[in-house]
Amino acid sequence: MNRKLTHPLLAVAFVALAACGSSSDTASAGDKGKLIYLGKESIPKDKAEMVFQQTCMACHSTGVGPVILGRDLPPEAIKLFVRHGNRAMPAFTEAMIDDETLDRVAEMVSKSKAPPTQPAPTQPAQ
Amino acid sequence: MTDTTQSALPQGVSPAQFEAALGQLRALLGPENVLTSEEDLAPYTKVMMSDADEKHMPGAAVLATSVEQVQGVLKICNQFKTPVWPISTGRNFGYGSAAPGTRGQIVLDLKHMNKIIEVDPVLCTALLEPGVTYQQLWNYLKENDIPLWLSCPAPSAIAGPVGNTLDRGVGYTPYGEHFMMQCGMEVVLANGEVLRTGMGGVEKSNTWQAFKWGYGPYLDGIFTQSNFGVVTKLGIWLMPQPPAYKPFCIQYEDEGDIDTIVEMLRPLKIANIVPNAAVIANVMWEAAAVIPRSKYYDGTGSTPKEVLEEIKQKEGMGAWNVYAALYGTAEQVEVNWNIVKKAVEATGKGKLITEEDTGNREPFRYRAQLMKGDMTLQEFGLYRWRGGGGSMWFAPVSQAKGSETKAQMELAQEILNEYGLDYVAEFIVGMRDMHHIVDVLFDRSDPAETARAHECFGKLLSEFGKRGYAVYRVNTGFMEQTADLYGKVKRDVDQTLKRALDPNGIIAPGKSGIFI
Repeated sequence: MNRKLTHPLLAVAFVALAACGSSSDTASAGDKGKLIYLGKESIPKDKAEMVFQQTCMACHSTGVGPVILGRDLPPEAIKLFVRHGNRAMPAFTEAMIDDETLDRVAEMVSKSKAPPTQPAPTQPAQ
Repeated sequence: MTDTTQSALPQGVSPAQFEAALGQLRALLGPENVLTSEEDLAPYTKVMMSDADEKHMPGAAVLATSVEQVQGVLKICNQFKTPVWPISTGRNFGYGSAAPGTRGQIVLDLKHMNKIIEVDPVLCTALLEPGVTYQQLWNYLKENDIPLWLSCPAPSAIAGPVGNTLDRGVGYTPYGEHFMMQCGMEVVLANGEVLRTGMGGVEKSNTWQAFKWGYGPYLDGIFTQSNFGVVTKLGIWLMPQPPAYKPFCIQYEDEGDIDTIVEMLRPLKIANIVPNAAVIANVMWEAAAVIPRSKYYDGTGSTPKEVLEEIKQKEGMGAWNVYAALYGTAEQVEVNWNIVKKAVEATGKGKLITEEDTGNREPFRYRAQLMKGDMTLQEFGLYRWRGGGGSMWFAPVSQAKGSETKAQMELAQEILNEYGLDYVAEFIVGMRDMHHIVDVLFDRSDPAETARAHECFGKLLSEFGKRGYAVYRVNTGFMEQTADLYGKVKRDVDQTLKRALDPNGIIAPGKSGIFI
């Protein structure tokens, strides 16, 4: 038997994410931001900002993972997702993202506004 | 908070023995660095393979921050005969992630050993600790204006060069065969001694990262995909940023074209015209990076051929999509581009696509990023193809001959389709081989599909094995079956080395099928 995530907050968060689009229907959405790695000026100095930009947004702003910005996701649920993973989303240990940084990242995501609409970055080559 | 130590003990270790070991580990590392609660261990248990989580449940996880602490951990583990499973960043997705090979092993998490000890911008080398991620090293190079490129696997940002190189992983640049670009390592042996390979043992040597072979038997290889020691430092070579870089794609319309593609590419690769670890991705791999399967197909079995044709037409993809790049001065790139164009023209088919043609669109964009060692997680889209978080890499080695790749393609398709799964595949072009990479994707939340995937993976290994094909790397659920394919003598030699170097068998028992 495979272990299932049974924490009640995860169930709440899963419903919240499902409401904003399951991972299987987000790729064609056109309102994602896109990370552009230009050079050292693009590297955040703040640790939480760095995790947010270089880890969270690497999937959640590119159509790979569900949109998480501007969804009022509860911080506790975000933290549970990060620590446990969910389906295709990997789990992150405390050694990778310490508790204090995770608290701040969860707060940032929870209070974030929806990104401005941008051209879909995931159209295939013609 | 539930303590799991009673339910996840290593085989042959009593609860009292295990608890005594944990007590010593707490004294050595501090209680905060010995994790035993279900909550703390949860991230170490997230796997993507078809094996049950329980088979890979760690008994604990411990975090070391120095070579001395690693020595201390191994001493305690020897004393109490408790096995440890070392991880660097634990991002071996689809191969076992951070979870131990067998139940109850203590994960030795080296993520906090994350120093970039040295980057030499003149010799283009780096010396790294295991916890360094590709993103961290990429940031370091940018922040210090060092014009060197990385070579990274697809989960670049969060994975790390030490772990990937030690598992003999690959990237997509001219330095894509990572172990070939490794130079010198430091290894803590089970008896606590610290070995430096290559030139590293020579007092005052400054060539540890410059010359791979040292003197006498070359030892680095035995510490890859193995359990003979704990690597605490690794040297790698980095690629100087070229003045010109030209990524391109070649699309071929029919799946049978794989034969033609490989025959066209092999001479270019061997002659170093196309110097990078180019890829030949099939339509499902290409599509999965940008769309979910459900956009075109809602069924539960293998994706029908007519659906794949529709995807090709509507998404503008080939049955096979070659991604390669040219590097050098503008003049060199121009000369080589003309050679590539002529080679493609000679096949009588194939559509060349350049960056100018496609602009910023995916999947070309992320492929161009990977072939210059930039950070991207776009390929995680593969896991969205069917959904459900199940993934196992089936990675048989093929000769770089068209007929061989075609035969492997047909065999893999036949077996996967028998189990209602998809042939999501790419060939990574090696020096003389092709790494045939098939992502066996399944819905891990569906027990029946998970069981089918498990059986399918076993059959892939055995049927390929009957024909002389074996994987170069495998997830922790299938290490035994894979080791058997390489023969009894190989297994015996591995065991002899294990018994000599780790007589109590405390380091990662079962890794690559190696036990004492």
